[in-house]
Amino acid sequence: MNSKSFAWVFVASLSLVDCESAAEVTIPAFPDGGLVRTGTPVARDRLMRFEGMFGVGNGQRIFGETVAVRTSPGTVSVLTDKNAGFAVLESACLPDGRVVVEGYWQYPTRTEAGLVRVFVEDTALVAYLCGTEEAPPTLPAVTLKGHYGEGNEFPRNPLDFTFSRELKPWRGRFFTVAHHGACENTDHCGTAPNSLESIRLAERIGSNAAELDVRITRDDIPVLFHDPGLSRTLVRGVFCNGQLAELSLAELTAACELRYGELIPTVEETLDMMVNETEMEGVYLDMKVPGAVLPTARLASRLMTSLRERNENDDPTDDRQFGALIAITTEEVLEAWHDAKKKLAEEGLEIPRCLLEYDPDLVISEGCVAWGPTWTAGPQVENVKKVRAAGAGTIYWTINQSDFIDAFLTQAHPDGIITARAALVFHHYQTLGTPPPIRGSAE
Amino acid sequence: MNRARNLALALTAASALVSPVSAAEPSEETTPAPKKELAPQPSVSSLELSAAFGPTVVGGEAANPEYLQSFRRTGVYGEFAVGYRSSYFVDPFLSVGYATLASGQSRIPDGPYGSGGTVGQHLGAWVISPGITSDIWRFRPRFALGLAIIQQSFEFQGETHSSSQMPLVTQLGLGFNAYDDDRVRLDLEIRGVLAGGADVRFATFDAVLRGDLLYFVSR
Repeated sequence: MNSKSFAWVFVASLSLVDCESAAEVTIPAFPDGGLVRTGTPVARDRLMRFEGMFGVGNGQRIFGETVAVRTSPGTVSVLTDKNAGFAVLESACLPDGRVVVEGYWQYPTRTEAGLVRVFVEDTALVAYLCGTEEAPPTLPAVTLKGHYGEGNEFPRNPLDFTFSRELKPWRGRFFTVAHHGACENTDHCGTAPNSLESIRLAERIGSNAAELDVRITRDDIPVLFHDPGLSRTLVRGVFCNGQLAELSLAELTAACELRYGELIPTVEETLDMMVNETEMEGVYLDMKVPGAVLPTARLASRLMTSLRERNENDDPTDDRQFGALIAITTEEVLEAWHDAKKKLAEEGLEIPRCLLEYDPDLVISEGCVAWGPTWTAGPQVENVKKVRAAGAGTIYWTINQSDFIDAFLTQAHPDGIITARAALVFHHYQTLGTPPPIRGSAE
Repeated sequence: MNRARNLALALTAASALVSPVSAAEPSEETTPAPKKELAPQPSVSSLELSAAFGPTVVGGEAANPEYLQSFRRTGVYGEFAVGYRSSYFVDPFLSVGYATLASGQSRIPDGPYGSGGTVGQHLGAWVISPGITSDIWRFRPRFALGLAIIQQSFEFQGETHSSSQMPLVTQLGLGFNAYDDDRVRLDLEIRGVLAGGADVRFATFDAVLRGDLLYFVSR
């Protein structure tokens, strides 16, 4: 090849280089839908029996030595500290007198995943899980035995989990906050950040709250989206280009879809979904632009009012504890928050709760319920104590590494951590953490 | 090819101007004539204008197929360029073109924007690229790196709105010289255009008409 031809081939090759690698997502599934399809789902209140810390006998290569098991509607979540792995499982009472718990395991940052199928065989436990009677006083602890697989292979490797102790209090106490949903954009979870699907998954892999990014469309509708631009790393669609703020919601709905085909959700439908379809306890609405503050604060205010009415009525079965925090991230957003509070007062609406990220003294003077410091400034233990003394909590953003999670949990005893590794944070809170004081207590 | 022909013509003309050696009378001397030194070979370059026109096909898919009613991914591309046909390895050029890339309609449901309806969508792109080409036998590869202005417009409920963005754009093409006259050439060219930052990529199949506006002769 002469130098002229070589030069052209070189230039042509350079132009074809694409720096972005495609996401490889393989969520294994039982080809026939699994045994759960043949049984009756275990009722929500009975699922609570699965919660606890478990020792791992067979299966330590995938799950480590211990796992934390927690539940949410329809899901038993197995959370490990090994590669921030998790298993998302469903359970059902089978006609043969056993309870099956099955689904998939996955390491979010890697491509490894596989199937899991374990059983509860103790007859007394099965009778409780599949019945309607109160739990007898001598009910044995849960032991799960079965198999796991790798990739799409049928589970054949022995696996067992043995209950070791109750979980430390976490509902209403410690917030494992999902960083814009379940996983980072570069992970392999199969859902896009800031999508409804990602928030649903976040609960199934260990979060009880979510941090979500709020921007505003051209027609002033707050939506979940991280970047100002509709970049190819976040969205798909031939007609989906430019800045998000330049498109109306109708145009966004027609032209854009998130990475895995999800619609860009509005804040209104997100709050509705979180309150009515999950058991998550809160949302941290990160105001990316000042213009998003007033319309988002209106939605949070209306939600707050409707939840209070719902919790104060005579029907205790519809009670729901959920907090929507307006997260103040910059001086400009703080100014917009001041303007929004005046406007809400004029409209006769309640002022929603706020979280302030950058200054613990402002958290107190602004009357916010939480401080959201960045982890890069260190645990700042004295400031954590100061805001706690004023009745506010501390939620760090965004910690994904095991060592740092441990350091912040043990030194500062925060009220929550924003993370893309919910399984890791939940597991480490359960092994190393100290439950923060109950809000409103003098502890 | 044509450039060689131009070179020969220019060489002849230059020789005539620079070396006005008249037809010498035959020498009566028997000693051999001293060796004549060759004149330095002149080079010929030209300023070339070109115009391209042809159909396009855009890559990628329209979003949200559940709402999509129609989608057309073909359009047309037109371009003007000015280039310098140098006597060296590559010819630099600057081109400006516009492509109508895609159009479609989606029917969206009721939402916070009010009642649903049909959203008309159009995509076009300005492409402004400096680049290089070269003649290799009758083929003409092209590489260019520049800016695109990706324009999209929407129609919904009687209102039209448009927006744009400016990503970097890469062009890679290969032309075939189908006609070559002294001053005018016609190529058929296939070209890929990638505006990576906007996730817009399209291919064109163009007829490219090129003509020399000025010649530069130098030694």
